[in-house]
Amino acid sequence: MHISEGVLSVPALAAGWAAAGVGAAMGLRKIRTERIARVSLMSSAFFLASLVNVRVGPGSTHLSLIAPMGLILGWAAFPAIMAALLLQALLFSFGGLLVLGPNTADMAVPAVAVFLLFSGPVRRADGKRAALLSFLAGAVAVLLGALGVGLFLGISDGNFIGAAKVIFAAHVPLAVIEGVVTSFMVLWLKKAAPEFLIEAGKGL
Amino acid sequence: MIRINGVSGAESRKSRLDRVDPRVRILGGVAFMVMVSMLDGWFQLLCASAVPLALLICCVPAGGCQARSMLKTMLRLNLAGLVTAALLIATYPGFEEGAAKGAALIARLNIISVAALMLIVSMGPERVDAALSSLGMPEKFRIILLLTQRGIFILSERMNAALCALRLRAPRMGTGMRLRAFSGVAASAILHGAARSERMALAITCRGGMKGFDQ
Repeated sequence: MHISEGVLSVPALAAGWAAAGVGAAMGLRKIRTERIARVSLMSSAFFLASLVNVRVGPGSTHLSLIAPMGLILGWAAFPAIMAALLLQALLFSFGGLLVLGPNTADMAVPAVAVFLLFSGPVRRADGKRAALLSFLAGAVAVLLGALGVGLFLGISDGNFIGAAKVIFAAHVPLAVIEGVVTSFMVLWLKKAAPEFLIEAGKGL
Repeated sequence: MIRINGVSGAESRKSRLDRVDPRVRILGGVAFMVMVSMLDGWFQLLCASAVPLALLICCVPAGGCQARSMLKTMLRLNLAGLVTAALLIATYPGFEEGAAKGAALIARLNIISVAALMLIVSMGPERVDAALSSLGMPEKFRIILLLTQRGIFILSERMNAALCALRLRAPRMGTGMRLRAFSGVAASAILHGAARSERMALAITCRGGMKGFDQ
């Protein structure tokens, strides 16, 4: 759900950068100094995981892993996602520099939303209930991201609403796939390292 | 497989622009890109395209690997731009207006992308990081950026090995099993990253802590 350069108007860019700036500032405040290395390695792990193409039926997709990032990093997801997207632009010329703010907001706001809504219930639940909650977290994160793209397009030009609707519809199957992957990942982490899934209200 | 061609992308490329202060390059580049985002008319975009053209002519040696890599990048970006433009044309109320918007979008994409590549991306992550730091970027974010860059190369090796093992052990997997296997690979990369980060944090502490990052 990267937005390309040249699409957004200056007000949309300003809104995206404002959201990303505020979120990153809050995220940086909540990261304890001894946890900086962990946030960086998490950012690297998600960066790499999103580069992998997973074959799904006749096609393939690359996953964004927004929900796992939110459940593991919480507010720190903002600076982590911003760093990963900046490096994507600098190392691979992927994404864009001017649209870094809106792209960060697109992915990090859903990550934090999932963290605030689902972190506690997912931590406390077991078995099928945990699987269902994580699936919902993954799906909701992708759909919120698609809504964010639509919002920025709408701010740029009211006539882009048609394109925004198509983008949202195209993300529905991705949301299902992302939900399934989030569900498997969370169940795996709950067995192997449950302390990774932080709860809202507790720092990283 | 994850191909990290970061070495060729991350090296700062030598050019005439190296004489210019990196902070001026970043601020000037951003100002130019913001200005181009405001342009819609053909004449305005044509005038604006003089800047990236001048940068290309003066600073990129023709036929070199730098020119080839830039061409590949621009082709990829234009492909994404064409898809976006096609979507706009299909959904915009009024075909002609939609086509004009799509064409302007592709023009802006090219102008902004070339300017960004020549002025900022070509400096490489380390120089951009140093310039942003002197422009007031928070120290914590600078450290996250540097360590993330390091972490990408550390973890890519491990993830490639895991993905290779997956393909060797189960070359034919159904979609459900494939998603489950990939989830396990991603989650174990996260755990490995966390374990590695603890050792990294200890090493940083032994070498003077985060104060060692202050230049």
